[in-house]
Amino acid sequence: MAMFDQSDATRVLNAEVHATNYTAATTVKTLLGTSAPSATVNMTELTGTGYTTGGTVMTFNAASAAATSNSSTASWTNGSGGSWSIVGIEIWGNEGTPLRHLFGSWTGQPISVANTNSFAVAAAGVTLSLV
Amino acid sequence: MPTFDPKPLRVSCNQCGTTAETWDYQHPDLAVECSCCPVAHDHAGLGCRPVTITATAHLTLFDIRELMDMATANGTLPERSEAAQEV
Repeated sequence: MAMFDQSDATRVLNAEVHATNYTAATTVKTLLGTSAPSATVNMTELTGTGYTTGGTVMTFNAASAAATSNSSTASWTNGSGGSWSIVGIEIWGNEGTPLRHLFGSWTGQPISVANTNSFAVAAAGVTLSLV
Repeated sequence: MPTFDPKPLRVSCNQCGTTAETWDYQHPDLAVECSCCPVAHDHAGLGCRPVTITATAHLTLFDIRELMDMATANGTLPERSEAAQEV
C-alpha cells in the first residue's frame, strides 16, 4: 500500500491494538530516489555531487485532520555533470539504524534536473494525508 | 476525502528570478525565458540554466492507480479492453 513502509505500518498497528509503544523519531530526513519505492522495497537513492546520501532533515507541521505538510524547505543543486531523473521520495526517521517511515513519488515523475540546476521543495510541498 | 490535485513544477531562473510554471517534467528549464540566461534556448531540451525547479509530492494511503489496479484484480472493474468493447 502506498505511503507506509510495511515495517512502520506494523509498528503503528501494534501500538494501536497491542499496547506496544511506538518509538518515535526525533528528526526525519527526506530522501530523493531514481526509482519508485514500494512498501517493502526501498527506492534507489540518488547519488552524485549535490546530494548527500541519507537525505536532508525536514520539519513538518503538527498533524491536523489526519494530514500534515513540511514546514521547512530543502534544495539540492546538481553538480554531478549529468542530469538527475528524480522519481521517488522517502522519509526516514533517525531512530534505529535509521528506519524508513513513508514513501511516495514526486508529482509528474520522473523529473529531469539538468546539471547546475537545483531541485527544491517549498514549504507545504510535501503533503502527508491519511484520508 | 482524498483529493487528486496535481501541481505543475515552478521554475525560477537563478540569475534574475524570472519564474514560470510548467507541466513538462522532462524539460522544466524550457519554461523560463529571460535575457540573462547564460545558455541560449534551443527548444530541444536545453533551456535556461541554472534554474531552481520546485516540485511537490502528495503521500497518501491510496492513489488512484493502485485503487484501479486492486479493483481490476478483484474483478470489480472490467479489463480496459473489455470496457472499450462495451463502448
